[in-house]
Amino acid sequence: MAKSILVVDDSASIRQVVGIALKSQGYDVTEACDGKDALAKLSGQKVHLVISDVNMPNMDGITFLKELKKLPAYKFTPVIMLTTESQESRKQEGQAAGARAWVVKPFQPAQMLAAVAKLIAP
Amino acid sequence: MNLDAALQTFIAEARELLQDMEQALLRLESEPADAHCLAAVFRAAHTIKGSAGLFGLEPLVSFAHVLEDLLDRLRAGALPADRERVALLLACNDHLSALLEQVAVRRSAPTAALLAAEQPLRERLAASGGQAQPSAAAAPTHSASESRRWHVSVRFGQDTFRHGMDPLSFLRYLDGLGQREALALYDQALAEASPFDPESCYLGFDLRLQAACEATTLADAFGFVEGECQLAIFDLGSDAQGYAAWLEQLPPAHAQWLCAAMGEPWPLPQAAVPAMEPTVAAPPTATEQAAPARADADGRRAWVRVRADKLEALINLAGELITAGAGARLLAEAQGHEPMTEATVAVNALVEQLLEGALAMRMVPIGETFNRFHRTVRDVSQALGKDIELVVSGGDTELDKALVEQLGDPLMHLLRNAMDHGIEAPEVRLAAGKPARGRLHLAACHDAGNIVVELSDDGAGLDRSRILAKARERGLLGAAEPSDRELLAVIFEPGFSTAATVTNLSGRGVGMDVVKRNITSLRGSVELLSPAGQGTTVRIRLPLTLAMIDGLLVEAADSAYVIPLSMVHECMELAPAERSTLRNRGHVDLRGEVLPLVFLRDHFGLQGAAPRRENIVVIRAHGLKAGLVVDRLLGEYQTVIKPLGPLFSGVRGVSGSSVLGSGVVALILDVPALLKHLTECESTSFIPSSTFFQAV
Amino acid sequence: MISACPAGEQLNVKLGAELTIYQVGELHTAAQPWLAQPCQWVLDLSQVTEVDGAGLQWLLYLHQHLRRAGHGLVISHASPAVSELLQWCPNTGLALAA
Repeated sequence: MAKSILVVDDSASIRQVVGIALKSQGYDVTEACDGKDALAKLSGQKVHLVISDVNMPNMDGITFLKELKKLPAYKFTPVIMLTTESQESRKQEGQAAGARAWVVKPFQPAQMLAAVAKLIAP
Repeated sequence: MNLDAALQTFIAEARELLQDMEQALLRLESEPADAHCLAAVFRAAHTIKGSAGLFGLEPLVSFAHVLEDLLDRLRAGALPADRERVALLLACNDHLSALLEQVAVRRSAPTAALLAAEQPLRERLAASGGQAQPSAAAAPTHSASESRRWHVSVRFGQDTFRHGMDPLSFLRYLDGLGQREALALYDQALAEASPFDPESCYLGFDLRLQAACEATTLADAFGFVEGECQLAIFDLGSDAQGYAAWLEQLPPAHAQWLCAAMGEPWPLPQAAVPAMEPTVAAPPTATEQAAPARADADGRRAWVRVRADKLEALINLAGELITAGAGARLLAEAQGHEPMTEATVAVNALVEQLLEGALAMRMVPIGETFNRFHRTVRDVSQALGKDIELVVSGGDTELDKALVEQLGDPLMHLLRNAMDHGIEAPEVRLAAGKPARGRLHLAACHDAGNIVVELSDDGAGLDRSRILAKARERGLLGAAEPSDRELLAVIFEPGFSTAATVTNLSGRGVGMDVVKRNITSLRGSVELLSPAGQGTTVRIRLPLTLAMIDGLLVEAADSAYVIPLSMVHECMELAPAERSTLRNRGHVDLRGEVLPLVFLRDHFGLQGAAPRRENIVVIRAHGLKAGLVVDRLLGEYQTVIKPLGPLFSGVRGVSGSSVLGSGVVALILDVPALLKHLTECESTSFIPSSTFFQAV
Repeated sequence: MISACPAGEQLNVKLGAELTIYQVGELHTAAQPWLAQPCQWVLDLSQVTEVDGAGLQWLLYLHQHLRRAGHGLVISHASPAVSELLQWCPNTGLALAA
């Protein structure tokens, strides 16, 4: 059974590219454009990994994480935050909120795949 | 992996972001402290940088990065967003646009001109408080190394599972980096756990593998659990001693277990070795600082991109459903089956909602078009040496996307006109007791099934006497005193211009009549209003959608035709006694006016004899008027327009078709083309009507 | 999630579809009464579609616990997911019954 990954980013092109890359490795991918959309799309379904941007309208990545981790179904779900080098403090915020993995933007698809491979099996 | 489609998404997205960024920057000019705008500007640069990186568009990434740096400081309040900075950022926004077109759309390297333009921008950014040099690009380069024997030992922290990490994933990943020599899963800590908490992690592993990589590659694999685990990496080839020393300082049982697992003797046969640090050890835990989370509420709704042709197909389908539904209803009524009739009525009502919904998807808020003009007003007013502000209202008024696209040019021209000729220079305004800053107001609203767009200025207003003089000079008006409406309508006549100086901006007065033509071709109308001392207002009326038409259904020789209602002036009967006279003469007297006649039967060469009573539909467009003679008037009719196929491209006078409920096809008449044909017809002597004014 | 059926001297235990960090807490609680009276376990893992490091750890724990009490644990049936997992712990004694 394919593992499922939720990709949350307000940039459609990033979602598209990350989606293509993940699907090429056999994962099922669900996309959301911000935290609110992500929570709605999750609605209790099993997801093996969440990839989320930090800066998003409506509900930013950190807030989304905190909301996510309140839900028992996602207590242990690994989260990869997408950050930029100028946002060290965000990385720590993310860790405090429960995201222990990160990929720095701008990234190449291969870097994303490597990060995913360290967290879940295909 | 084919990323072409994704690249197109990126390009569309980046263009939108750059527009948003420009809007936000313009707003910042008047509200330098607006945090919302600052956040929006930052986010635009940040997102473009991230997405461009995905496709390896280095020049974009690099410039966006430098820009983002300064923006981050502005956003954090470390620097103020003063006028100078905003002007610089606007210039950077333009440069990013140019880079996007060159690097992403044309897929070429930046031109010499672009590079030349970039350097001063970078310098100005640095001077303005940004970083002097862009930081080095992200991806670390791996130098080719020879294969080495590595021993990687890791003991995971107790919270590993709770943090969503899985030791096995790290193991699989590491294993994939080379060829495995030996593997031991460390379960000793598990045996000693008391009490045992199934959610805590007591695992570790020791992996020996042949890999052509650096120690840092192996260490990076554990980046996500840095600080929580004990990691030791040894190059067994060059650092066998280090490994031995490390073994020495382990608890004996542990070391024994490990050696057994690796298939090596224990104790290791060698002399005492000085304690050495392993090649790479786990760094200390980073102190976690809680920072307040920032909600970035933007109110932006979730969007779906739909291809225009798919939407067209849906609208067509909905239109056909309406027709089919109407047909079904007719049949049901003919059968006299009441429940059936009711059922079809219910279905038709739903289908109408469906069509409305489909059409609504083509509706976009006009505000997007309006907002683009802020930049124009700013640039043009500066070029003219005038102080002008643009106020926009009713931006969320929606209209058909196709209309919006066509409206841009006429509005742009009207704006430039108003700035050039409408609003006076600051000194003139002050002398007249007005504020030095001129005001342009662009407003939109719905009114009775139309959309009304108004552009008002608080300038000097239209000078009636000059207009009258010019109109008479050009032979556009006679000696008779025209009404105010007639007078102002003359401005839309070709070749009319009272501007003392013709500037580059608004041209030689060809503008207004072209504007009017553009609007009329959209089945809209335009008029001028200029109450004394209150500036000038241009009022444009447009139908809400081009996909549907409000028409007058008429019949001629058993064929149905639709005449756009906006071009119907009035209808009257044609007395049978006068028919042959009028047909020979080719025109009729309409309240003192000469109205040329077009007999539809003749025009289209329709067969059969005309009925006793015929009707004249007075149509007008583009200042031309005529009477269309048809058999019967069948009433007002709203319908979806179906375009004509290529087969009909040579047919003049028909602009589309529509399917009636009975299944009959009605042709939609192209009134402007018909009227134009009239003027070209030598057999008819045509005198233009003295009334040019059109209003819906 | 877990069902146990005594069969003579041994306990036939069958686990459900998921054996991950999300289940191990409950599984461990559920297994307490049986662990309090250790015997030979025969584990049917044929239905397990998802298993992770925490799941593996718990299996290792069971194995160690039962061994300490003089018994043991044997896996009678393994789903593909479990077979893949077992290759990562060759030295632990946790293996598929021959």
